[in-house]
Amino acid sequence: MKPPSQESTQAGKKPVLELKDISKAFGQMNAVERVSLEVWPGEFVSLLGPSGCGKTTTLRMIAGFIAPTEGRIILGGNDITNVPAYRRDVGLLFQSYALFPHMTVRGNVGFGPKMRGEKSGAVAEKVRWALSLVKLEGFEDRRPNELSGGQQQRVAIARVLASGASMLLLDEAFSNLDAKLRGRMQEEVRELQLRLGIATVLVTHDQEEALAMSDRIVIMNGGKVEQIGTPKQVYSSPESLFVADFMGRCNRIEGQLTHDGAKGWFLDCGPAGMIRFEAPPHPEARPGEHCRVFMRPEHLTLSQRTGDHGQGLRGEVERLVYLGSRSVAYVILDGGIPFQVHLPNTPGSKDEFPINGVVAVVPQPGAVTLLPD
Amino acid sequence: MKLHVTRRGLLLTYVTLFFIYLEGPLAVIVLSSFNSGQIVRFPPEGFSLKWYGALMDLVRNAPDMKPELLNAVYTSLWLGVASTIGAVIAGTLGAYALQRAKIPGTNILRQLFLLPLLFPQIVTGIGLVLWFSAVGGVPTWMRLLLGHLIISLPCVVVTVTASLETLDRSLEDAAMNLGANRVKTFLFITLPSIQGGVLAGAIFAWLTSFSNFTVTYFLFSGEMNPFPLWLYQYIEYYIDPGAAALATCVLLITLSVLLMINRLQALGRVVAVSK
Ligand SMILES: Nc1ncnc2c1ncn2[C@@H]1O[C@H](COP(=O)(O)OP(=O)(O)OP(=O)(O)O)[C@@H](O)[C@H]1O
Ligand SMILES: [Mg+2]
Repeated sequence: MKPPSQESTQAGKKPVLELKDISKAFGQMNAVERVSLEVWPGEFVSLLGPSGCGKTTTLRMIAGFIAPTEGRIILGGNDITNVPAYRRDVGLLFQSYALFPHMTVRGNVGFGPKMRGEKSGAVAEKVRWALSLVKLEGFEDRRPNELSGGQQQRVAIARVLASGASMLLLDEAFSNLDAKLRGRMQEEVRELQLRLGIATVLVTHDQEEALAMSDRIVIMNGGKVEQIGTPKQVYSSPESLFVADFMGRCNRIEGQLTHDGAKGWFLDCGPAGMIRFEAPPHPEARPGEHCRVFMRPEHLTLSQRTGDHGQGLRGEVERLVYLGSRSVAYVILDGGIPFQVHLPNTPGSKDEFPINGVVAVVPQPGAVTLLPD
Repeated sequence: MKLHVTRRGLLLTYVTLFFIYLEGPLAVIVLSSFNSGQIVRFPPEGFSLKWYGALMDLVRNAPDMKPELLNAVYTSLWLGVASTIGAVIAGTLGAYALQRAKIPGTNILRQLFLLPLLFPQIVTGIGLVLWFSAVGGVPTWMRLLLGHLIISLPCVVVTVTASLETLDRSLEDAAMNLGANRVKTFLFITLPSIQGGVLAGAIFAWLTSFSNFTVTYFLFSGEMNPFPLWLYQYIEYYIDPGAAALATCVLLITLSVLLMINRLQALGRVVAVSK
């Protein structure tokens, strides 16, 4: 596990939240295994992973609804592992919003401060402040069932903020919204989070959401942490096959490393041809070594010139799918390996790759990444 | 369109037959209370209100009748109210505990809770009599109350359990997350969410107590003679349409209680919204 890139800028600060080797077993099943994480002040961290990998369980342990079977949870320097949920000031935003249907917006947003024993004047002040943050002034007397999905989510956010939480926890908070509204709410929440400087942990299985919103991403798989890093790190320098695959479509191929004096390093991929490396693929590279590499579809180009040695991999276009801003070419390499190539659709671009036409898949400089074993 | 009409017709016929069957016995009693003949019979031999008059006379003139009737109504009322309050409190907490307890066997426990509802009441009655005589010294009012509590508790448990099953647990989690401890969460979130079930349980509990005959029969005494028993004793002596008139009056009281609760509920909703 690499140290987070911000560590230097965090010098002298204390993490808001520390998970120290927390595990949770349900009977024989280890839902979460030895997860460690530090969340720094103002930081937005996403827990990202496939369904059932233990994201929600981790979040519910932080919120205090599930007790870890092992490990400690430290919040603001205090060990809260055994503190009941209602005495932890972490605000949890539910996927279903969980607004109280028998209360008005005012009642919902004021519930937190009221439960924490604040006077009615202070409660009203908090409600006003929180509703203005989410731009819902004037909705105080509505009931949750009289609000749209986006408005309900804003009320839920206001409710958590009004309760004075020292950090936010979001569980799949945007997955109930339609695509357009989801994008807008993601932006709004991120903007609000930055403005308030409140440390936030988001649980999601949507890698685009995690990439768009996070300072750091924690990739989980089978209850364990696979990698922690900035969006760029986990996308372009995955430390495991799982991360490489999960973060986006990746075209994989393997072959034998060769070195040709003046021309440099090549990967001989058999019938499909060769890939040229800009630099030695890794420090201890030696000719004859077997290597596995991957390339993202958007780092590849197509060419109709297929003759040149080392100028990409030969294949046939199987299908072209038009997606507006780009097209996706499905190419079958000679030898049968399927590849995807993203072709940006610029005003001038024309359909130059006919179906079943022979093409060369050419990686852009730096596109070929060695796959970890 | 044609198909639509016939389907609608079928549905209406079914609902009508359903109601005739369900409410038929009550209708028979009500109709025969307007009988102009001398004995209870159906169909009635003509229309008259004379049995209502006779009933009034009887209550007014028979020396023992009036205080006895009033006493019976009074006994049934306090018994119903007291056992309903007890059943609502104990039943709601019991249903909540049963649903939330993380212990094995809660399913069997829940069935046991419902036993008094499914068991022949005569067995419950005999059991209670044997037990009370073994213990000794239990005053009649307490015997009646404990007996009625047994039969009205399951009503509340059933309806509250049903409400709890549909309750969104994340509401309670949200309340705790916002700083409400378990008691506050129950009072401010759980209880308002299941109030429909609690109210329905209360109505059932009250009606069960108010109309119960079998268990009450084993527990009553001369000075505490709940209304259904008094009615039974009356019919034993006077088998005339006056009894039907009396039963119709009871029916009216029950119906008006139901209507009142209905109105209260609607009123509650209006108040809640306008708050
Ligand atoms: N109360 C429970 N009892 C037993 N097993 C549980 C319980 N809660 C979760 N699990 C199991 O623990 C594992 C992790 O569950 P969790 O809800 O944390 O997954 P997740 O990463 O949030 O998945 P998703 O993206 O589908 O929400 C799953 O295999 C799940 O079946
Ligand atoms: Mg989940």
